[in-house]
Amino acid sequence: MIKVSNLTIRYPEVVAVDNVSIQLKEGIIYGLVGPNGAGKSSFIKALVGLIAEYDGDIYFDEFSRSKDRHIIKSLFGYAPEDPDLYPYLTGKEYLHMIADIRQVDANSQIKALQSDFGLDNVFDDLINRYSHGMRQKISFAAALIGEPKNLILDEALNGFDPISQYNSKNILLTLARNGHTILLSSHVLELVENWCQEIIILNEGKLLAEYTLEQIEDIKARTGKDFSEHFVSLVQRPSEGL
Amino acid sequence: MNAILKYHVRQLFNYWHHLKFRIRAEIIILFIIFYSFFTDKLVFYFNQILDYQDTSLTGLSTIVLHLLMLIVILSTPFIYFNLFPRQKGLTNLSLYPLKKSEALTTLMIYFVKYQIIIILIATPVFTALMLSTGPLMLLYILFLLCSSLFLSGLMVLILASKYLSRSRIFYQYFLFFFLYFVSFAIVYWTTYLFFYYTILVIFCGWIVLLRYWNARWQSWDHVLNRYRPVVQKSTQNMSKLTYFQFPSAIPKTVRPLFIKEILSHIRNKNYMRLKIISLFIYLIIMILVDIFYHEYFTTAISLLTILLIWEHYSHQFNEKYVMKETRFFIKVLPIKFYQYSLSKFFSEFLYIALILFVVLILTLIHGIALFKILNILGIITIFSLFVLYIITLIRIIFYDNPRVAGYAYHFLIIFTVVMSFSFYLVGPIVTLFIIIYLHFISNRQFAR
Ligand SMILES: Nc1ncnc2c1ncn2[C@@H]1O[C@H](COP(=O)(O)OP(=O)(O)OP(=O)(O)O)[C@@H](O)[C@H]1O
Ligand SMILES: [Mg+2]
Repeated sequence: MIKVSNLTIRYPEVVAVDNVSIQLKEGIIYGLVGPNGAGKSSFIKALVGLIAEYDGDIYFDEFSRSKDRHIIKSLFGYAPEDPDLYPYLTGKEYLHMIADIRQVDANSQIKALQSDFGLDNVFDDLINRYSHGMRQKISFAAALIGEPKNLILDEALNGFDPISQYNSKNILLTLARNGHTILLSSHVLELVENWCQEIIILNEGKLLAEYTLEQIEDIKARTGKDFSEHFVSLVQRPSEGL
Repeated sequence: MNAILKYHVRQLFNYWHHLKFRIRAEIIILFIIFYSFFTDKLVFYFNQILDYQDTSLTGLSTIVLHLLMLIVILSTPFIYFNLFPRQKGLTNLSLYPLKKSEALTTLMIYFVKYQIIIILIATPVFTALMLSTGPLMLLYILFLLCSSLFLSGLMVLILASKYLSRSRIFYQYFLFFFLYFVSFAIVYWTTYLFFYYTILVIFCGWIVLLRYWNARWQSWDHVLNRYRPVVQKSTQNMSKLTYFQFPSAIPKTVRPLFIKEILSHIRNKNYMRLKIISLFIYLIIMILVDIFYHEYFTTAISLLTILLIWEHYSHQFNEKYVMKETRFFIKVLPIKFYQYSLSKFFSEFLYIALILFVVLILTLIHGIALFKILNILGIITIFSLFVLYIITLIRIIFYDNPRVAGYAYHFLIIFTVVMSFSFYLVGPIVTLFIIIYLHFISNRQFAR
């Protein structure tokens, strides 16, 4: 469980996240959507501890981000939007490094991920040579190593091919069923609608709306618009929200 | 084995193997030339000092070692505050629950990584010291390593205390190493058993460190988040100059690139500040020299200006000041070597012209014969043209790796300057060939 209260993040010239409070419960996949610059990545970076200066509180279970930073590190896996991997390790070495650091025996998990993501041919190549999609796969796989209780994915699935996407969805669904908390930001509304049980909409740093799937169905039935049309009108005219 | 150490060694190993055989051979040969050449020269100087100037062996070693240590000490805060927060590998690791030993290894690895240039310079110095003073030197080297590790460890610990501001940290850091040196000096002066006591001091130091480390290691990554640079928007309204306002004196094919260079310099506050500050410091030093060492003025002004230009342009390889070129820029756009180099040349020559002007004024005030002034200006101009040329070559060759480019730049400058005055004609000829070769390689980098 992740609890965020009154989170505000300021950069020198903009307020990237503006007084956001939200609770992410166990066993649910959350989708985080919003236009470019809405503050999604900033929000996520504060969660994982890459942004140190913010107002408000962040709790992972009962651990506070400001006091128990070290404990929290073993509670989440994070895949960033622009993964920076070590170019002169192979994909396999990188995943094993993460497993060693997390002190888990992940041999079988790494093998499974390798076949799920179709990495067989490149697993022993240097990351240097990987395509963008392959890097994202490795970064996503690294976040999954040791099955941490919370998964935080920032546009992590963008470059995936259909097979890997299908497999990732199954992995995430299984994890959610086992009580993990998953937060997934994406620009692909369809993906979010298909994968997530709850959808969080951010705009200009503010929390615009938080929908469950039933509410979305309800909106569709009521207005006759699909979700993306609703999203557009919501972002352009915020007063139409719930 | 410690996972961090294991995979970082692995990474180095992979890197070496991924290089082409030709490049590996080149690196080894260059290293051997560099290493043997400098060792040879240094042995000669050290022997000279030992023979003629009545310096004791311990005295000489202590001076050299402390000089190196001073470099380590002075560079450490800079590394921690400016380089560490930009290091993506470190940021990545900071997200994982590292063990105590792993956190320490991580910091040490990245610390050494940034000192690599010092280590590279130090190895021939050590070898030379060893050759001219005997194997006792090994102990001194050990001492140096322990001391610098000690000092960097100190920094880690001070930084790990979360609630300190940058100035407090600075203050604490320098206070600590001041105390360390004072205790060290007391031990050194009160006993002639220099060695054993020093080791004792270091040993005690380590125990203190260990205690602190135990209490604070969990916040090792604090500095990364605190000092990670944010991009200031205000750079946009920094300059009213826009793309369309440039006079068209410069050849048409070079113009767009020239404007790109100029705008990215003018709009980068850090870069402008650097230029102004270094010129300012240079002026102060020159005025001081003129007041206190009046008779050395002529030598000093040539040497210092050359040093200024060398040092100043090394910042071309720091991404805080000059961004690296994208792959797209070099490989995809139809740019030719002469366009790129001329644009760099025109945009940078403004600053050099300013320096030349300052030199002219200073020498006129000092009152040197016109002939000598022209001589000095000529030397400086030739050197700066040479530096600009080298920069262009190196920046093109290592366009995607500024740090390596920086090392290559320093290496080449030292190498050419030293070689040009060595081995009679062979040195300059070898240098010339190397530069022609580099010219050839950099020419080939561009899309054609
Ligand atoms: N390092 C930074 N320095 C200054 N401002 C920043 C920085 N990073 C982000 N911002 C600003 O913060 C705001 C939110 O950015 P953020 O990256 O969180 O958006 P996002 O929702 O992730 O966008 P995208 O969908 O494009 O990834 C933007 O206005 C951006 O300009
Ligand atoms: Mg983002």
